[in-house]
Amino acid sequence: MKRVYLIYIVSLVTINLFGQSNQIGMINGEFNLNLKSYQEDISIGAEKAEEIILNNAYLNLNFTRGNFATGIRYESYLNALEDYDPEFRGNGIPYKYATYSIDGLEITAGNYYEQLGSGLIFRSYEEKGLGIDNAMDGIRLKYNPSEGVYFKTFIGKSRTHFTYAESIFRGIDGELNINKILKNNAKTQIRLGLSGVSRYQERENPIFELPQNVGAYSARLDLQRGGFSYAVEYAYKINDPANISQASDINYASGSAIKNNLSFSKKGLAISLDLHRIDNMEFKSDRDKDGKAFIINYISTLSKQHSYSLLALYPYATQSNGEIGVQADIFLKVKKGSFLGGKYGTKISLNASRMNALSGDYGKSVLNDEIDYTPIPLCFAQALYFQDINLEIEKKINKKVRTIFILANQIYDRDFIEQHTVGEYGVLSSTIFVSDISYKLNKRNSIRFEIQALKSQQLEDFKGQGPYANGLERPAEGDWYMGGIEYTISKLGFISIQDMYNAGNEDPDKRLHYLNVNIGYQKGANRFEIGYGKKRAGIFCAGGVCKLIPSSNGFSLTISSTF
Amino acid sequence: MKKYFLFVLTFIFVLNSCEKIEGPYNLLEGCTDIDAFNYNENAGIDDGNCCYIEGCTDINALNYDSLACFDNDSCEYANGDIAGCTDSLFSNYNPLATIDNGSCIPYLKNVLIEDFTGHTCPNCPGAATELEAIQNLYGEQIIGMAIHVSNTFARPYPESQAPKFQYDFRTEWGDNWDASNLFDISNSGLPKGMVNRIGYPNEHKLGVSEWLSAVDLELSKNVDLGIKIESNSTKITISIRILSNISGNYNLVVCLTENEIINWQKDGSDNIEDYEHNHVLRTVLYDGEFSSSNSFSIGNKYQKTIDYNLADLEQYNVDYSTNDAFMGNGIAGGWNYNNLQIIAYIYDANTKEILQVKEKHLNH
Repeated sequence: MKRVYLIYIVSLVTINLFGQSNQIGMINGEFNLNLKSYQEDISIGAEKAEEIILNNAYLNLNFTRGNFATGIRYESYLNALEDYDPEFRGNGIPYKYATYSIDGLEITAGNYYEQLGSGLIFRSYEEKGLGIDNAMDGIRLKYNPSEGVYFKTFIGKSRTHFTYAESIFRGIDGELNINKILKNNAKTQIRLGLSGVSRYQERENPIFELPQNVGAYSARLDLQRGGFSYAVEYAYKINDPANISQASDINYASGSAIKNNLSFSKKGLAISLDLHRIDNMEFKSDRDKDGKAFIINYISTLSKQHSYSLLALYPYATQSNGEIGVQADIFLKVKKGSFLGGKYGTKISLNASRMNALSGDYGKSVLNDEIDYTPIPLCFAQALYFQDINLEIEKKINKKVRTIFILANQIYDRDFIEQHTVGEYGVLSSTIFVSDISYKLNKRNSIRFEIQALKSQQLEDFKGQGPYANGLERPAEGDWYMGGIEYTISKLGFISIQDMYNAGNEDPDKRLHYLNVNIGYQKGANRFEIGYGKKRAGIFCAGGVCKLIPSSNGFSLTISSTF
Repeated sequence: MKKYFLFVLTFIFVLNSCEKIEGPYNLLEGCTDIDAFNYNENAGIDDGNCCYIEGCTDINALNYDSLACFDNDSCEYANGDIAGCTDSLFSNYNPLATIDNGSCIPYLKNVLIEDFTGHTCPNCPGAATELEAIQNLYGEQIIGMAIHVSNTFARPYPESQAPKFQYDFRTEWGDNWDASNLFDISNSGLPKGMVNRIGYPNEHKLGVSEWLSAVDLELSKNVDLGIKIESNSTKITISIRILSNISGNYNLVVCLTENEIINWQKDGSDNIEDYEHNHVLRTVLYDGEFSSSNSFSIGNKYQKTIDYNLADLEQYNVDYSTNDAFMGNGIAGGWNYNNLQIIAYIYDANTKEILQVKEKHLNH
């Protein structure tokens, strides 16, 4: 009873602190400001901004009352940070919605985010880190007529920066939980899903016939029995040629994708195996436009998403034009008290993934009046795009010390993945070691040390094509080292210093330090962070979607606040 | 059961809202026989109108051939008559002509495609071939200009990597157009282009797949002006004929481009040593008004004469590359004067839209 009372008090305090509650309804939201100065640093290739300071900010405001909710987002780019598309410029309210639900039907008018299945044929989402926001504007209905049955359908236009793409999307999705429908408690749980989406865009090519309505469909099945589960999803997209006038480049092939996941888990052990094959599956909100802002589907990456900086130095994203990939992931928690487990137990995870090109010269299906090519369905013998084998051991030594050690090897075809010419940067094999040690000084204060090293090796010899080692055109980046210290006072803030050092660069002028210092302060619902540092030009990924960002040098200020 | 029926119905509805295209994919009609006089290389379907007989097709000529369907410039006229176009509002107006032979050719709406490119941009050759394909489709109405810009894709490689990518194709004018306070193209990635600069200030940066539709739209617009270009070894003369009553703040630009420059270019995953660069912007000779008036009446004619010296212009680019361009190396000369083209265009100073453009070989 005492506990229930406590929860009640805490909820009341929370509502009064963070939500402006009264009889009319409740308002909540968040604010975020990201300010950055850009100074020139020729050694790392950083350019200064004409405006000196650039700024991204937004405010989310939501109002809810009973089954009704409405909200807006005000966004401000004055002007946008350099790693954003320059088309994000100015202020506005690009996101506004109203929604209510009644008798199992939820109706949304205005903006919404939506995903069909895993997103193979359609995913409207936002990812602030990458500057992606393809929110829909239109109408969406979700209907849950009875237990285990779930439908949704929508129509709308997709956001691109501060405007909307020309085309119109119509989509539908249905999911059935067979066990719930049949009200049985069988050991095998079955879920089935079917989705379809169609894009309408006016036909405009004076020579070639283009489809005005481009459809894509997917079906998915989830099976679960005991600790085993199997999920499969298949997607198909009809042909969607680009609006160009060159017969040799126009492609009428349809697209397909299949994803498989088999997993097993029991206490202390989890095993997961994946296989996917993607062919011609880039789906855009405007057939004529290029760029991330116009991509309307999402194919997750099979490789592990790393957060340590040297493990994520050469990241990978799915090649939607064509790839075949496999992944195995094993997680083991060694029991406390055993030889390996020690007093507090040990967590071990082993992960391996490998992504290859599809068979054939083109590495994807191509179909037109001049070329007709379809790759064979299963073949792992083609060019290797990326491979990652990594072992992570997390061990708590005692009440004060916690350690994480990672050893990894990654193969990265830099020329292909970053779209360079063959022999410009070559194919890298990196062996990476990470050690992360946290020490708890007392209840509130802790300190964390991070040391990372990356040993790099070129796998191919381009035999005198360029002036650098292995015949490369550009100097190899070679080995990297990274060290960092972070001191945290819980509920108050932190200070961190980290340095990345490109010690092994073949060009002696590029053996540079990338130093970053950050100080964060937190009080109640507000967080402030200031920093100074240099950022290396490179690829930044979030959730398997990547973006090339320029190098930069300057101060930053971040303020975030929730209410 | 009704609700499942509703779902199935909606699903079928979405399932049917698509239209897969089966070959043949090219639906353009025209003569597809390569031996015919009016063979159309872009046509995918034969329209049954191939022409195999050439001759004089002017009914006023002495040797008019009623069977001929292809005029081979062989028409002969009575003594003393000079046949030609006698209407000054047409592009081939001949003030000396005494007999109108029905040959008047109207001024056509021409379109300038400014292809912002770079020699180390691997996807840029695809844009150059698309430009060429659009030129094949619409002929002389399409005028191309390749403008090498951006610190990433257009700057020359360091000397240590010679002979690769040593040439500096950049110009002061290209860099100014690409600057963030004007067209701001390369910040959005290359290749990108502008088609008659329509859509400025927010929608003028067009990806390669957008060029064709934009060109179609431009070709359907009214022709308000006609431009003629004449040149000799020291002067270029631009004549402008007003074809409808218009008013606005219009400027004339005269520039030189060079064709058939053989030099390095990245193309997909390859480095091409002997890539042929065409329509490369070399210099801008004039950018200003051609009349102090803001109101123009049909039939009026304006003329602008510009003096030029190719050696000075070439040196200007060398100096720009040496002193001003980001990591420039001064290797910007070596022009082939025989391959230079004059491009003259008139644009609206407020909207930036190009109203008319014309290209002609420079007689140096």
